[in-house]
Amino acid sequence: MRTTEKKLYILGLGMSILVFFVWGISLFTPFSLKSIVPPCMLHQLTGLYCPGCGGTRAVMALMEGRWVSSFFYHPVVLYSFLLAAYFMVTNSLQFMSRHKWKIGMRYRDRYLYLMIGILGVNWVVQNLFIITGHPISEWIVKMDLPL
Amino acid sequence: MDNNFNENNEALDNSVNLSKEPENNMSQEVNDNQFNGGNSFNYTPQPNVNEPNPGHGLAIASLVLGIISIVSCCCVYLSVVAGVVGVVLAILSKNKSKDNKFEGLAMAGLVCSIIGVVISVGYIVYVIVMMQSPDFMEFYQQLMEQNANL
Repeated sequence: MRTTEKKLYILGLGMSILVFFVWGISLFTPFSLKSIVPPCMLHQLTGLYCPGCGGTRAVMALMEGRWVSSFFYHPVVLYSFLLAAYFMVTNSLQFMSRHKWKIGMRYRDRYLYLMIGILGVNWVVQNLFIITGHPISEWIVKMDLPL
Repeated sequence: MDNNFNENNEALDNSVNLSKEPENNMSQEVNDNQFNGGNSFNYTPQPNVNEPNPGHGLAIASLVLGIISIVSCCCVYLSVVAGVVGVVLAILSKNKSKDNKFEGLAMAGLVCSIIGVVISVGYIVYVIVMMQSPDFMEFYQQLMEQNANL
């Protein structure tokens, strides 16, 4: 495993532990992510979305298994989760097989560039729907998607 | 602009060997030229294009922090801190690079960090200016109370 992948793997292990810890707390206590994340003042004052708006709802939907809702709230959350999960699983398998299975995902700069692209497109699309008077988040609530 | 590391050590060894050859043959070449008056051997060792840029890790960290800064621009403290650190890491990446220039990733990290900081600072200034209005103050306090009760 190369240096960059090693560092990312260790970082991913730490993040996974933190995520499981928070998820476990939310399962057994009334703790909610919304209680620690402040409301978006830009949205409250102007009605428009900032680039991060919908992120908390997307994370909460993903933790409940509603990945389609998570995608429509904020696609970067689902993209990051899938990318990170694939990276951790493939590199763990490679590590456990003592590098006999060379299936570990490698870091590429394009993954970050793609994330920026998704962020920008999502921001524009969400605000376009808001300006037309039909925010995407309202649709998700009305449709009550099981996923 | 991918980070194309060459894992094939043979290629790396070949490039190293190529660069070493002129040194080993240099004294022989001089002798040859003296005796033969023959053709001079002009070889310019090529730089190994597969060597990683020393500042690449910092550039990656800078871009990640820049993205975090943009995404959390409403949470101003995190956004400003992430943005400033992102800018610093981009500059450090440039200083560490071989040609003392911003590589693509570092430039993207610098731009994203600056955008995040500008949005957050602009938002802070906007709130400070709007706080002169008593209606806004009341609305702002209600919002903070609502959030505290969640």
